Amino acid sequence: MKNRLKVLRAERDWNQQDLADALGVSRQSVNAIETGKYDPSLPLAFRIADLFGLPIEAIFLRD
Amino acid sequence: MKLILSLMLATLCLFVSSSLNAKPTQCDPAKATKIERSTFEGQRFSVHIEGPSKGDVDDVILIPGLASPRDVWSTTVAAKSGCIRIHAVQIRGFGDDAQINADGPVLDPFIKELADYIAQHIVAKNGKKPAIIGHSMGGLSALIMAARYPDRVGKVMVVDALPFIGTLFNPAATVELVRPQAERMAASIRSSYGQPAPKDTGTDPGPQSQAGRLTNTAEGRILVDRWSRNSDSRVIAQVLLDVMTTDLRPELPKITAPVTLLYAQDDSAMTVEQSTAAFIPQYAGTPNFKAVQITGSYHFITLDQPEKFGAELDLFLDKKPEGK
Repeated sequence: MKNRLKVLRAERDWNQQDLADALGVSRQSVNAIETGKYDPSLPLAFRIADLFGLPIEAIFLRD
Repeated sequence: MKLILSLMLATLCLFVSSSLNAKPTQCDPAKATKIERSTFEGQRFSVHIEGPSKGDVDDVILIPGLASPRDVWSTTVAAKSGCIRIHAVQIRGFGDDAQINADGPVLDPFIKELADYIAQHIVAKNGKKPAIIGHSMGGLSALIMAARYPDRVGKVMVVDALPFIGTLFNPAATVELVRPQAERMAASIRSSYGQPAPKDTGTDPGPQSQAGRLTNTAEGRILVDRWSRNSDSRVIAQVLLDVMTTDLRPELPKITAPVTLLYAQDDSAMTVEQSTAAFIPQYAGTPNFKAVQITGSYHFITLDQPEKFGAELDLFLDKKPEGK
């Protein structure tokens, strides 16, 4: 699944570790989600959406 | 001028990687052991060291290019630090305080200090020669290191860099022909030091921006624009001058380590043939040389084609260093 996490991070000047800390997951998990190797669970997707103040569909895009 | 500057900026990034034995480096972060982190504060640069706390692991030094902080390798560090020990170098002034780099030549003293760092903190500790990977000016630094300190470099990966950047402007260029132009460009950049600059808006500066000539993604443009903004223009000017007046081509035959070049090509910038013609002839005489063209990418290959870069990095890390 495609996502806009890299752009959203870049806009806020967060590195992968910053995002990982904010979400309470490992940096490797953030990397795996960003690169499309791993789809987040629904609860994690909601946490990401809450963190960025955006609807899920503005972050995760259908293939 | 703007385009030339973009090309220069583009060709000045560095990444040094150090690797030891040939062994599988396919990395599963989920299975990674505990990761240990430390820092080294040098005169010309600092290093963030990150890798498995246990086991016989390969050392990889990453060096960014002109006006780039170590963040240019953040995806690589996240993907690999569970399997290799990464030494992410950052030249002072490219994202932090310029300190001693504020005045006088930077490139040569940087290379000498990095050679000492490798000898003391990698070779003496682990008994193995590191691999060096550099982006742009970092790639040039990796080549210089391999040519002048062959006892400290196991293998080299150059990401979109040339042994002499002058050939981008004129295939017949020499250091003396390029020097006046290099000095003018350096003076112009240096004069912006301390001047008010537009604020970082955190938004995509767009494909027509200076960053837009170096990377073809929105997140890449935001990052490259910020990195440039956060760099000390005195250090950018000096390193640009140092790089433009360095022609390593006569020293390439002295390199004993295998060299892998990744060079960028994007249809909107140049054809496949033009890209190949710009890079390959300049590496003539490099003994153990392999080149891979990365299509769909501008200068920041790690940002524009992270998956292709990751695949080539895996091949490179599994490659046997010289003499093994």
